[in-house]
Amino acid sequence: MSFKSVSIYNIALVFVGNFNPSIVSPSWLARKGLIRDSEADNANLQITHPEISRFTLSFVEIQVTMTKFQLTCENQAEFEYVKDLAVSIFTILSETPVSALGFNHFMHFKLSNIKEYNGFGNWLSPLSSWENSLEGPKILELKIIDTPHKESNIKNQVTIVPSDKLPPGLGVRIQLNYHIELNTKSDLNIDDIFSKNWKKSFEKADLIRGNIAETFKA
Amino acid sequence: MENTTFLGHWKDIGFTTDEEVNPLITEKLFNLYTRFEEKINSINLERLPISRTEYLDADLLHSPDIHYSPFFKGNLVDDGWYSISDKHAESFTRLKGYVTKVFDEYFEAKIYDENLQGTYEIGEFDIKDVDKGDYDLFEEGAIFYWTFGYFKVKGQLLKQSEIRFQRIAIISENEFDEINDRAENLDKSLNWE
Repeated sequence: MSFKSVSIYNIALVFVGNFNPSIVSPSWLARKGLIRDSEADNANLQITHPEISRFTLSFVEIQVTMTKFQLTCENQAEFEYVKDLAVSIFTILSETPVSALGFNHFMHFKLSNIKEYNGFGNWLSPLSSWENSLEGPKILELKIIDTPHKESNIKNQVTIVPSDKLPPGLGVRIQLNYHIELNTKSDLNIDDIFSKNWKKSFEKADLIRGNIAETFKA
Repeated sequence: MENTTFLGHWKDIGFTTDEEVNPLITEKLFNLYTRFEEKINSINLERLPISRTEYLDADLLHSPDIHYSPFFKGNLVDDGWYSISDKHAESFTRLKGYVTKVFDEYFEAKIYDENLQGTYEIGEFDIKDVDKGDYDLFEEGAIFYWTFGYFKVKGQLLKQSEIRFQRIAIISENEFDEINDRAENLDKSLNWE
């Protein structure tokens, strides 16, 4: 049952480009009608600085630096709100130079016991060849990338680590970074990018989960 | 805490005579207990769970003589540490809808699942279900999300239902004209054959 369903599902949308952190604030978002006034009033402002801005709303944490714009959501039921917000922000800021966009899916899985947990690490990468060099070898982090066609602007990277949201020794986090390279010579058509890739990124994440569920036996 | 009281307690928990208890061990345990008690009393219970920095700074808890603190039992398993999400979905359904008619105390809407093409239901909702913050969007034709299910909120399982109206950036008339002009210029620059 461990990989048949996700225990905790988080997502982080990361835009890479040139940004002005001081522009995006809870009050700016409310003035543009992108969030409720009450959400702006109750926002938790953590940092406001010309080089970095970070604040939390009820459904999203936003962090903006001069080169990265990140929206993070920990509640799967609120992913669509974050998507609408991201699309709206970059519709308004359509002339902001954005060179890449990543949809990061963080899927946390709870395993049955420590034996299954260790068995999963050994299944990912058999550790027998390390037993002569290290005492009790275990996997701490594994990264796998794909090799897309030259014409494709999508790259996928999967990272597998112990979960930081589930009890140690029982949780695994599988992260998919669905990376989109953008053409910086033309204005950002954010609506088009999301309509083509948003759903696809979820399908990719689910494909990875499904394949592991099918092939891993404790 | 008096040493004698501790000795007495030590007898209670298993040793029956003073001769069986090494006084050095007793003293060591007494000192550890005192430090532990002081540390416990200095921590604000309402701030649980503590941050990782505070945990690591609690050097007392790193003492090899103490492996587990019942004080931190909720978040501590086998010397590991993990953070609890503020809120995450356990099981939920999200439907989309649009308002078809508004009455005094309720409104009608067409509800559908975006993943299932072509089918919809007609639903009635209490006006009170609309958040005051969404009143500016609430009208016939407005699109909303209806999400309901079970959510873990700060460790507690809660049943919740929420209606939230969709917020999408609207471009101004000037911006529309600008886009239109750019499209026309592009059209003129193309050589149609």
